[in-house]
Amino acid sequence: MSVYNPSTLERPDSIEELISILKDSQGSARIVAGNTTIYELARQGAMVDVDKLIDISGLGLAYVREIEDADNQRSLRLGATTTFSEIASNQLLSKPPYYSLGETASKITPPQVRNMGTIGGAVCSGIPFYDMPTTALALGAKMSIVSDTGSRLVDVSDFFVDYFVTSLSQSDFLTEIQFKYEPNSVTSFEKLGRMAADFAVVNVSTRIVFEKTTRFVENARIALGAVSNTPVLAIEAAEYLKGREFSPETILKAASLAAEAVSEPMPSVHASSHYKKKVIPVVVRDALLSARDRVRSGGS
Amino acid sequence: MATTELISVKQTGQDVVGQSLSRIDTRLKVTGKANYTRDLKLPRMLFGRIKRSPFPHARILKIDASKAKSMEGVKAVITGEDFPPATSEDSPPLAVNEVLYHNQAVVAVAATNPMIAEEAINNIEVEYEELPFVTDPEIAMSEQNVRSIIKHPGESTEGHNIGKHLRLRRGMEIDKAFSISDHVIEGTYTTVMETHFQMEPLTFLCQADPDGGLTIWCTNSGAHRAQYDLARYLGIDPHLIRAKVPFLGGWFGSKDESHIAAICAMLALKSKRGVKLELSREETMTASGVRHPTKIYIKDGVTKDGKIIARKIRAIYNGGAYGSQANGNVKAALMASVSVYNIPNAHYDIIRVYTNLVTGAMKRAPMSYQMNWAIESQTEKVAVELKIDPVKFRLMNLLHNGEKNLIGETIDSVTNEQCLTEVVGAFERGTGNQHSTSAWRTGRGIAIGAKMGYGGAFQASVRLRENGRVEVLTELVENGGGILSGVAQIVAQEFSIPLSDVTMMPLIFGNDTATTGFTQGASGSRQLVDVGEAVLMACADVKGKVAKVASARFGFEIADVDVRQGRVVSKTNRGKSIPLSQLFEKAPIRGYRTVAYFVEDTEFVGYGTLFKQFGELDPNTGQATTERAVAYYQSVAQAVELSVNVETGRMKVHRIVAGMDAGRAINPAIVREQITGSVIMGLSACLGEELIISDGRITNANLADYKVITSLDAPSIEPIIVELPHRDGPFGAKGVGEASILPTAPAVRSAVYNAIGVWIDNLPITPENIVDALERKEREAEKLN
Repeated sequence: MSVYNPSTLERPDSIEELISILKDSQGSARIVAGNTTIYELARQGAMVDVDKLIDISGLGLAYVREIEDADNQRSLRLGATTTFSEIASNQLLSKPPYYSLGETASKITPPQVRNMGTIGGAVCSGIPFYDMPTTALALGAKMSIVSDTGSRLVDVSDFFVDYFVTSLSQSDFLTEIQFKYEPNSVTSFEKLGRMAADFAVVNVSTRIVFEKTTRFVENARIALGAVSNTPVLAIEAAEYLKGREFSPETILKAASLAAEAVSEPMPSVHASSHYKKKVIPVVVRDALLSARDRVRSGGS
Repeated sequence: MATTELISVKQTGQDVVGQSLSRIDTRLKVTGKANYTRDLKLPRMLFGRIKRSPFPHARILKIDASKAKSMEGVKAVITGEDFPPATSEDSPPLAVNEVLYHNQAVVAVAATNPMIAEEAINNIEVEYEELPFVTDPEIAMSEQNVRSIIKHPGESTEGHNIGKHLRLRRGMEIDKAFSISDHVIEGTYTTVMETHFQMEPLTFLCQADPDGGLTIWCTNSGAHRAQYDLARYLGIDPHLIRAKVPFLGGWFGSKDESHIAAICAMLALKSKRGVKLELSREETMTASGVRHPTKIYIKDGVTKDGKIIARKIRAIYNGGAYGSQANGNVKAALMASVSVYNIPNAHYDIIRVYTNLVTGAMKRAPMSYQMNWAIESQTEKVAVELKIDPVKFRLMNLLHNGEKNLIGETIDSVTNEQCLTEVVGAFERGTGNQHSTSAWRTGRGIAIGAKMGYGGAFQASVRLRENGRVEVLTELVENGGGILSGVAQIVAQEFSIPLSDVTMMPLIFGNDTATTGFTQGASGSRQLVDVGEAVLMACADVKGKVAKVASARFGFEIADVDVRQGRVVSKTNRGKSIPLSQLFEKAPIRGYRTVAYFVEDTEFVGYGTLFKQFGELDPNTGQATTERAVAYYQSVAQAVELSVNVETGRMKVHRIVAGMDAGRAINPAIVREQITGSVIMGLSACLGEELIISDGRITNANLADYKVITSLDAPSIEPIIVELPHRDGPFGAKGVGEASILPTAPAVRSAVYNAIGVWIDNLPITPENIVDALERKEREAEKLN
């Protein structure tokens, strides 16, 4: 219940200015995007060494764009300060390969958090029971990061490191998240909370890519959140689906394999490990079934 | 949700009572103009902060505040030693010698801004010697426990750590009654610690006054309560204390914490400045007052045709560290259990136990809520085991008017049967909801209950103006329920004037002990009934004054005078009337360019005092020692339809039909809103509210981890008002703010059993608890195979 009283609030106008502020502050600054998490961190005493807040809302990073590069490879770019509400309502995201992004955003509660919270904030907080990190992992996102030493793309698999910890260094800044367009794919997101407006007890995000000419699965990614210190991929389950038909039977088998991927789910005040273990296959199954519904409705 | 057809306030005076008029405080609140204690400021105001105990039980060895005191901007530092020694089991404002629960207040400071106050708190060093602590009341009260004994001055304890022990003994020796029963069925039911989740956390604003006293604005349930409580805590003349209560941002029993107000008051007295003390949500959740956790054992003896002939209850209330007002209110637990079922042989022990936890306090239908959960859960189980329809089983065992209840009162205006049958009727007329997915199972359940009404002392005054306008000056705490409107409607009805011709002074000025007579405050849903009655007496008093003047000057018979629509009228000859203004003299101001009115020799101000006292219960048998032990009993019944997901334990509650006896609904829309609000609060507690305690500490005191339901989880709620006017209340009204919380959780439990065949005996009924219960059932089934 401590009062948080940072001494400075910076409002950079450009990414260059931001990078220079980050470099100068040597870890004593914290970036504020939607401001839905900072206050709670401060209240819990996690901000005692931070005396400067950097408001990045003026950097023009709220956007949803689809880009086609020189090799005709399409990809989606979500600016770091794009809010969940913008993601939930954007028409570009109604395409099956991106569908789970809007679905995830719309299941973040309550509406006030959807209106303020941003995708950049959601992933950079490194909070494993948030919803967006799971979907970013399922979609194989690339994190576009700049720092005083230049810019780089980091694969999502290398981004989430530990509970509340990402691979970002003190001088790094996430500008956007990129999602490759997978033409023959469907995606889905499922979340189980205790109540309608709640953090996830378990969340699951999927992407199923089909072979071009058959109904068989070319590859699958199934990500689970709120079960470990970072979101995790259910690799065996995904491997199992590869080359198989995407049927209720294979889905059930994959769901039980996914449950085995997490031997001891991380307990929380919201649910015990035992309960999580019990419901993981249910949520995975429902996520896969909902992906399958999208195939059947001509989605891919 | 309840549908409310609101009628414009310009409605005529005819039959205002019984109309769903729109509330008189609505416009102020929806435009953000209503002032709450948090909105108020004083010039050069200081900010208070509290340093709290990091241990659930410890001896205070040393408090070193020298560094804090020397800080610039720090204007007062106080400890428990600054207050007079405690004389009761009530929480001391700041701990003296020992801390008895985690986060208990130890030192307080006032400084020129909140940051300095915070820093000052951090600069205070308190040295503790940790002591063993106990959080389980059954361990705390056992003779083997010598680790943590909690003793308070002035308390009458029996045995270890027992704050209060109430007994009910009726009929034959209970074991004998069990021996002649065809079935003996036992159950144990528990409830957990809850917060009130009122929107406005506790807040106080206080200034030291030039006469050595003080003025305090506070989030209390009554200004006079705060005044007299503070006088005791501070050791000063109560009449040097001016207590004010503005609008409350939700109450539900959460805001009777005068020991916290005393901290603010002492900081103001020491600093001689205005001081604002705002508790954070976390402080409000961990260190004000909570719903008592309980464990309740019930054993029933039943005949084979379904009559309960013996009931034994042992109810353990985890009282936390102090008595607060809860020791005195254990009676409410007993009263919830004596006027619903007619049970010839009863043996109840209700025990409130001290432990090293935050004090158990009052929350909506306090004490009776837990008892009703246990009794209705048990009653349902007995019905199911006897294979008797649960509604029929209840009907067979209900108490009726004219019969003696379990404490020997002959009951009157009770609607147990009417409530139940009306709810069942409405429920069955509704369409059923079914879920198509195989994992969802639908079930239906009912539960009933009853709440007692309180008495007390209440004073009110009304002033009658020459144009017929009536001003009501009394203490009426608007805690969100619409009480100002309810009482205004009573007054409008009494004078046959439009609601807009009634001015409720608490709406304008808030409540202020300096300007109104005494009232007992808002608790127990008593304002409408008791202040309403006092206001009616004041109306009659002022009419008597009018009659005297009208008789002396215009030849009316005193007994024949009524005042209606701004006129003095003859009761027997409606044609005979004069305008009220004829009884007034005109005062010349600026040579009659401005005219004021006054009455010669008197003022048309009427006073009413209601003093309703009831007899004590016999300490050995719990039997009433006088004809009446409570103001009234109020019946409730609810029916629930829900679906449970057997894979995840998630529940969807589709529909709740909720019936409540309102005596007479003064404003039916407000009554329906109170029913709806109570059901939502009851459902929220049922589905997941719990302050989790680990190592003597509450671990989820924030809004993300302590889950309440939102409108997304809320079912369709159909409120039903049952009316059987009570002999005492104004127009027969009963208080409507609490009783409807009683049956929700047990009705949900009944429906869960109906859906998936498992009993959940421990609140809350979370998805995890459902999944665990289903697993246990599976394991038991495997064992049987």
